[in-house]
Amino acid sequence: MPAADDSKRKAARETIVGLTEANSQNNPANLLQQDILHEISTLLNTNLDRQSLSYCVSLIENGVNPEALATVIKELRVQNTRYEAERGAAATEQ
Amino acid sequence: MAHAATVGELATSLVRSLTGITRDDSIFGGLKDRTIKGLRDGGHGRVNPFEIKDRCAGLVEKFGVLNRDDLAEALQSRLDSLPETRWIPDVLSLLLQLSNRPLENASLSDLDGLTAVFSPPPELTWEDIVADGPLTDDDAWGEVERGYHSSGDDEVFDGSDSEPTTSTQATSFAEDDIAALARLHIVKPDAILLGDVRTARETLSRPRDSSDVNAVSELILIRETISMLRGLPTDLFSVGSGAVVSISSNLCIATASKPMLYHLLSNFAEIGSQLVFLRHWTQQKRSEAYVQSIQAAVQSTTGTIDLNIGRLEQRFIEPPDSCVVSLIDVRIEVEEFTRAAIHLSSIIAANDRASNGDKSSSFALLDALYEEACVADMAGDKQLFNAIARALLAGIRTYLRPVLLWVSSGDLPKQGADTFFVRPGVEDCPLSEIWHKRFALRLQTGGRACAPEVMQPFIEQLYAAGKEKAFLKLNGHEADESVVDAVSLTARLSMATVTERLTPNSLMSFDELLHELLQDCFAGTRSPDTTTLRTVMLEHVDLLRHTRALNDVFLGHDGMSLQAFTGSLFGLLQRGSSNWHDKFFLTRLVQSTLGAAPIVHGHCITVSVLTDDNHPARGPISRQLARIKLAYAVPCPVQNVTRSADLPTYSAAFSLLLQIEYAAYVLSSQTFDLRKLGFGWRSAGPALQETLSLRERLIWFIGILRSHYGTVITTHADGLRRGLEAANGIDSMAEIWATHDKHLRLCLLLAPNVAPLIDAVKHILRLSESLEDAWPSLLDQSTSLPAVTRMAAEFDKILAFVAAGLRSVSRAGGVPALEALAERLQWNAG
Repeated sequence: MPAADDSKRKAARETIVGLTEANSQNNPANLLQQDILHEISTLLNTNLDRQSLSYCVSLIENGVNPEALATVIKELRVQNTRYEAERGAAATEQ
Repeated sequence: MAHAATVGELATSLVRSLTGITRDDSIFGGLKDRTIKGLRDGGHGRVNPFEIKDRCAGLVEKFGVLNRDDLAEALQSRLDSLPETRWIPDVLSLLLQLSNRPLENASLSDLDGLTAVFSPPPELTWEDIVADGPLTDDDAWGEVERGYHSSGDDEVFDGSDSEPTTSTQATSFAEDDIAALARLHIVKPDAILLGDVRTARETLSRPRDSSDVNAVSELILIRETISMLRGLPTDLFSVGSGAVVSISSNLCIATASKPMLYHLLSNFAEIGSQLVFLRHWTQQKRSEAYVQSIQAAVQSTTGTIDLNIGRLEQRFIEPPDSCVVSLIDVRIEVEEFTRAAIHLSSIIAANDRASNGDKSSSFALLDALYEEACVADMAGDKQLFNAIARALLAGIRTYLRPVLLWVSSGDLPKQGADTFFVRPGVEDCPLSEIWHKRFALRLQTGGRACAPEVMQPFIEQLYAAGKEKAFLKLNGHEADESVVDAVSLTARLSMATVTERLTPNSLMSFDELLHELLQDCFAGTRSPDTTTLRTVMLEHVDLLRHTRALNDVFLGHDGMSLQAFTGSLFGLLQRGSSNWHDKFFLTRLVQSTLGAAPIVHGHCITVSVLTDDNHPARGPISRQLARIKLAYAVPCPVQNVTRSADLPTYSAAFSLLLQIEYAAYVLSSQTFDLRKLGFGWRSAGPALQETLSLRERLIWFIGILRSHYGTVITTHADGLRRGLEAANGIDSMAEIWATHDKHLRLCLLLAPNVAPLIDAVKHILRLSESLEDAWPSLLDQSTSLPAVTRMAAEFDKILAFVAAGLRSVSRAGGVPALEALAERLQWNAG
């Protein structure tokens, strides 16, 4: 039915717009949510800065498993530590 | 693919953010790949939101137990503030997994150091301003007009592409930063949604003769149709000259064939044409007040249609769960609630075409509405009847206002006087002719009064009622001064009253009810205290007294006063007085004799003496008596009944009466006293005996005449009195008087068709005078018998003629009095 199709398209459009706005950095609701999450992250001592946290939230919203993400983050930190150590050793040798 | 790209981008950003390694580094690619691979690892179970919630609660409790209430409260408050979205449990799961001994390492002071990632826009510098546009205009550095400067005068600044100038992370705004606050609530219109509307408009805007046939949805057609029915301009329909709506686009829909679609749209176009005509007609300036009222009533009908269209439209704006979008359904619904308006439109359009400025059809619209309302009532079509009757009653209420003013005060309306059913007659007519000449009925071609058809049965009644008020006012008998409230009287002519009366009585027709209501309305103009014309004429003007006075003055009702007058007058005439015809003397004589009766106003009597070819100054006394003309000044209101100030019938009757009295006077005088002769009757000669015989017969004739006149006068006077007492208006009084006058004239032989008879009677009366003149010569035997015989034969001949004439006239006219007179004359004559 034409009227139902129109309403469905309208609803779909609204959802996409809502998601877009929700993902928008400038969305006030999203910003508030990010504030709170950052504060919780700080209280839990996750060592995630705001930017990284926003990336994590975006990844989770795109369907990434949080446990997998946590594993990746830990691995990256380890890799980073190793890389920092190697760079530091290379700088000392020079 | 898009999702993978998004995840890849985010993973790249995450790597760069966590490690600080950029793309330029050699290990970046490997890191990124391992990251993406790790993110795609599907070996982990889904997050259980309840478990996460329990873990968070357990963590809060742990903080509390371990004497870190600050952390516990801070964490709990943040957890409570989190919005309940789909991803929050997952994010909390991530944070819990990444948490690193918060009990030892976390502190509330860390929260204070948190600031929003805010990148304020670069400050605007003069270099930027000059680069944008050099300030070389002369007006740029001119004096600014001091005074109120409204920000609304400034050029509108489109801030959609610029970053907000204040922190959106702030929990409170400056009181004067209203613009920022407003910007937070601005919702940008969705260009995608309007795109459909723009596309539809472009499709509909293509002309009908275009070869492109474009498909549109039924909803769009319904929207265009509803707008057209409202009278708004649309792309699908166009309004041409004469308020004719036509289809202007070449299109089709998926659910119907093209002929079917155009048939539907044509139906709508016809309906729209009628509605457009109605709306245009209600906006026309019309001079007639009742037409303006009809326009207002029709406008309320179109307003009701607009409401119904709004309700129809609302169904598509906020569709219920099961809403069928069907052009056919819309057509059925629209036809239903516009049926009455379309019929009204056809009535008005037909009337406009027929009248075309013709003044004779001033009330053609009212008549058409009246007829259609009666037909609708008979047909039982309530919807149509209500619409037409509402317009009809509105017009009638307004039409009745000047009518009620006329009925209650006798004043003609100033506005709309050209179409009012009463027109002014002779403006400066005397008071004696006010009733018959001051006003007149305005007639249309065909002889009907200039009034609506529904008012025709009441025209005579209303005309007389208004004339009555005007008559009383002009004659100084002020009518009741209370102002008739036309609005309250006409308020009964409403649909509420009609519905209330017709609903319980299904056998009563609208026509009958309307007549009843109008009758009630007109009856409401008279109050019990209202002075009626009849009362004024009979009691204040004393009409009956004046008519009785006429009998006394002109017809010798009082024999003694008549004898007193005639005795004085005839004595003067016999003595040969030269001043007998002095009008002042005669007036004084009449006023002192005939005017002495109690019911007569003596000062109203005047006498004049005619002197013309028909009334020579010399000749027999009986002819001289015909010169005397008596006049009695009746009041002006009475003259409106008698239609004459001279009363010619009464004047002629008085003149004849004088001649009869004179003939009786000369025949009974001392002249014929035989005791003076000195010899007896048997000693008289044959001529003398013949003379005396003729005298006896003349006396007999005069006696019969007197008896006849007395009977006629008395009979007619009684009939006149009864008729005038029963009359209810001046028209009936005048009619009664005219009948009385005609009958009196006929019975007294004064009518033109019996002129030979009255001449014969007068000839007989002159014989009396001749006999008196011949008596002295008869005494000295100088007059011979043949002369006397000749006079006697003349008398017999004229008598026979008079008797025969009377009999024929009475048979032809059916006058019993003349028949009785003829019989009496024939008895003794035979």
